[in-house]
Amino acid sequence: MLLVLSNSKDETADYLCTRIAAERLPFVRLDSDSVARKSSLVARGGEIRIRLSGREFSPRQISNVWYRRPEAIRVPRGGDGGERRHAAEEWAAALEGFLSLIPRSRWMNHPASNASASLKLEQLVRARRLGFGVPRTLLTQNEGEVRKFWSECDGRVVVKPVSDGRIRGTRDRLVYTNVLQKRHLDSLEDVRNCPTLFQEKIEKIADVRVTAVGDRLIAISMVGSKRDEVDIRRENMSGVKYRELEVPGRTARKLVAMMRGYGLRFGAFDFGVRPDGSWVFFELNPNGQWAWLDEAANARIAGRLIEEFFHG
Amino acid sequence: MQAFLHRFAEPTRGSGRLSAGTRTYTEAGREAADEDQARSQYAIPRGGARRASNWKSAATQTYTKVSREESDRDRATVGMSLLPR
Repeated sequence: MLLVLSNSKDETADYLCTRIAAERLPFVRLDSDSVARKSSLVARGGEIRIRLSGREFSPRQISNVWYRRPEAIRVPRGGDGGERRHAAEEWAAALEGFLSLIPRSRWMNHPASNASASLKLEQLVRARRLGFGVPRTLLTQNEGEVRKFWSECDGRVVVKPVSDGRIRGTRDRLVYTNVLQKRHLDSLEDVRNCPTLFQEKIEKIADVRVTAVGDRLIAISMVGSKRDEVDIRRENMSGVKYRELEVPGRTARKLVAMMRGYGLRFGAFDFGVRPDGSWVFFELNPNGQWAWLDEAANARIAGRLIEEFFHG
Repeated sequence: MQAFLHRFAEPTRGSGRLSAGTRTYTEAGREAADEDQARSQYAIPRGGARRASNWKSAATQTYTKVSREESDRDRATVGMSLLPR
């Protein structure tokens, strides 16, 4: 039995669950925003069971957990706010008691593995150690260091978030990867406020997203419509041309080593391809998006996930 | 506080979801979701001032009994949660 952990608005989970249901394979979906209304837990005599979707399960019956996008547990409205928050904590702790009895090897991915694989600076160190080409990188709060790095890179530098590019507010905004222009060097005072990540701008002929499912690697090259665009996510990715390609053997071995090092069963890797064909590692998203590649590039990742969960 | 990086912030364009009618993934669907979820677990606490002050008080050993209980709980759960809180 596959347990899908997500929230009810996760359309990637909808997409895969529809496929699984069509193949009549056993799964149950637990959405964090409805679990408190639609399920119940009982622990007695060393046994924990959850009742969900009209059926009852013990942790032993869960052969795989697909950890997608669970959010904080929501409990039904009503009553005191503090009590609701407390009830949500109780729900979370009870559910975690159930989930913690599912062996870590059955998770895709265990949240601890996701977390350890999510730190960009550590990823770059690890990637370099494994033999990947990585961009020259500077994280600093020092204006002089930025100017020095800009000279060392012959004025070809990008600036990007080290965590998440989303700025949440009354109107959400997003920080993509951007080119550092010479004019920026004249006023860098706000670099002091926060560690900022600068990287050598890689001359690339394509971006490659490698989606790893177990030991299987699905590589899709993406070429944007604008020449020299540093971040192809802009403009809603319109005009991006997709093509499936083979991962070079040595790169594949390094990718598998990186996956195993972090204890991942799923990972989404981003690379740039230089004009000489060499690949440069940009980053790893251990819980990255993938379904758009099935739609835009016929990547067949859903099929690979089903194989991994039910026939692996 | 404005960081240098914030000069480059742009309005988001998509809902971050697979749009139900067209089954077309938006840019934001990838952009938002790739990174955020993985970081929500096992990280340095990023809660509000109350939680931050608990951590500070735990470090300086000047907490009251109540704040110590809260700090102990925070320390235990921050690194161990299987679900976002």
